[in-house]
Amino acid sequence: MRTTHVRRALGTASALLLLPALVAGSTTGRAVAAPRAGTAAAADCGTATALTRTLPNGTGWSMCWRMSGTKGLVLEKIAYRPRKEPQPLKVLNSATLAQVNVPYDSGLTEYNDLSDIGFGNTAVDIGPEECPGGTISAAYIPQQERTVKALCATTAPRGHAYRSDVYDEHGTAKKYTAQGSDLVVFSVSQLGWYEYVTQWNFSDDGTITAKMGATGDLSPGDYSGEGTGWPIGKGRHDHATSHYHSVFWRLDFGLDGSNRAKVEQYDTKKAGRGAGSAVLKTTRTPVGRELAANSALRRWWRVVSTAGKNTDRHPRSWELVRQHSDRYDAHAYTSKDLYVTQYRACERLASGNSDPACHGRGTSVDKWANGETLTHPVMWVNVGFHHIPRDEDQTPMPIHWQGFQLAPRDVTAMSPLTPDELSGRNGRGH
Amino acid sequence: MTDQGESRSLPQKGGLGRGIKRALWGGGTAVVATAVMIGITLPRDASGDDHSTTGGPAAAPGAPGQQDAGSGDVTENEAPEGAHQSGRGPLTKAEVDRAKSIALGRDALRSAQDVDGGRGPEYLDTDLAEPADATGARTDRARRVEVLFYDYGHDRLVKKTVDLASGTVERTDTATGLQPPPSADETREAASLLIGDALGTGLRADFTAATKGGDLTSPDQLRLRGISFNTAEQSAPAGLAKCGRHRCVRLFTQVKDGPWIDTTNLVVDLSDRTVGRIH
Ligand SMILES: [Cu+2]
Repeated sequence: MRTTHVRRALGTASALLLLPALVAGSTTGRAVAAPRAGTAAAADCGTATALTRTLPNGTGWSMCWRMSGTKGLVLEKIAYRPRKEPQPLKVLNSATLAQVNVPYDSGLTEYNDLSDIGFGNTAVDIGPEECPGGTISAAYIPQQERTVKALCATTAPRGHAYRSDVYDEHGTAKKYTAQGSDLVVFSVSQLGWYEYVTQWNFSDDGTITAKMGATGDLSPGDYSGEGTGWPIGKGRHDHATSHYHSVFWRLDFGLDGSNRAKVEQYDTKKAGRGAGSAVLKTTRTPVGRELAANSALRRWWRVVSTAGKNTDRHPRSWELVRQHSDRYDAHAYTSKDLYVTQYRACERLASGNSDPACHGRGTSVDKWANGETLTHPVMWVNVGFHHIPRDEDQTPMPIHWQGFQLAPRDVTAMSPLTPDELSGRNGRGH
Repeated sequence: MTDQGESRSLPQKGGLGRGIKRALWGGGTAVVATAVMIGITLPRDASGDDHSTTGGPAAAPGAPGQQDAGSGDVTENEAPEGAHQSGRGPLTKAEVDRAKSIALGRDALRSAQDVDGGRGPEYLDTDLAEPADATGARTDRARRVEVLFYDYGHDRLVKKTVDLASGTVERTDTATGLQPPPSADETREAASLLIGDALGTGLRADFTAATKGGDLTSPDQLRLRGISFNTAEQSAPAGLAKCGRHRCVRLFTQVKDGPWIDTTNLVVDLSDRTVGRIH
């Protein structure tokens, strides 16, 4: 049970997701936390101060931020500036949460934490001990009628960026290695006894990690029986009720300053046996119309720029890297892992969408993905975690994470972290 | 179903005590666990003030970085202020106040009713609008703000999109069946109705136990968080079928500086001012 829990929260392919770049107690990146002014070309946030950092390895990130009552932390105009790139590269117009749905296995209760309560409405002050070496920024939250120290931005180490013994023409090895780091941005919301950390890590290799952490306490009132709960405390008397956290994110891409990105699905299948191993064939399926799709073995998606190429003349793109996810099959909208819809300003929450301007279109993303042609794609990522409580989840509950990543694919001709001495090794040697 | 109006299938006292003992160190408040309710003291500052618990049991001893916490490395940025902002940053209090008054300007929404049946709509929330995108070029310097109201007279949600620069209402959108999070006023009103209702008996009893004899007479004695409840979005018994067309609210309830009292099984219909329960 415990193993399952941990593996789900962390995921084998998700090294970045798990790095201790989080909240109080695990960050040791203070030495590199000071922002270097001026180098990352700040996003234009008008009168507001952009959130801008250049990480120690030279990668810059910049964005605007604010708090929404329902959606909580809103990041906009997210731009990535690889070390040798003269200009920041625009990636996302906006990135937000779009729902947190928490139904209990007992069949007795369910919460829609964004649409019914609100992550900004429940945002709480972040203390200095939670944001070591960082910057805490405050915002006025209308529904709370007060100012909340809502945002922490800091820098945290992520371990190896790379390591390689490279041999020169004389056969002499030279070790190239570097330690990587992340710009870490988070806010905290208290929804009753649960506390959620809404976090984004922007890595120096270009990877963006979205993750939601749940901590606080298990529901003090939800106890159930064999099959719908797990015994906690002494003996087998009290079964804390199992439940789901289905988290949705909404990603509005603005690659290289244009909304007209293309979406592609890739699938890799066995195609016979070669002389030395099986042949695997990867095929590309353009996604020209709105999509509601599930993960499958070796399936992935990417969003491709129509406005920018790297210096190898490959179109820039961002790949959706999914972690383990158990989709909740008891609601229509949580039954799919991914939706891509045509942009509409009033479509903001994956369910319980309460913008009257969308009246008549239904209130959930499964209704919106109905085959429209995609000229301005918006991606809705659903990550489900079935939480079967364990003894260790008692107060305060160790934080459990769920999320996904966006990895740059051909955004730069080589990694922005490639050491200068190796930057000539681009492509097959001749 | 008990005659006290609470029907959660909660375990009996003996079991509860073990389950929640873990939380007791946070304060001197006794754990409350009647047959129908459960209270738990969490180490949380009920006032919402900024505070740090470093050094308390919450600070994991030996965690790397913890010993340096708050050592002066953290910088703090104040919230932006003033009515004149541009671009994509946080709304200021001055902007929110101005947006509300523009949205309610002239005779707008005078026929609407608030949660008490008073004239004018119930104000819910204000948020920055998405940048206009008609041409594909996102014009995002102008501050366009969405102000949400609920009209109890017609049971409908009203959104006014306000241009703060020109001081005008750009458009008005109206719909029924949409139920965004309740305002603080609505949450208070829901608690008031619950306290006065027969289904509030368990809540009052638990409050009395938690406060060693105190009487629960006002929402001010509680720390509350409202949860809107819409049967179009989740399962509900037939008795609550109106919720969604009506404005309904559940509550996270905590005695101020004291334990939680679980009231999430109860639903207050603010449109017809009744209380029902989920199971
Ligand atoms: Cu959980």
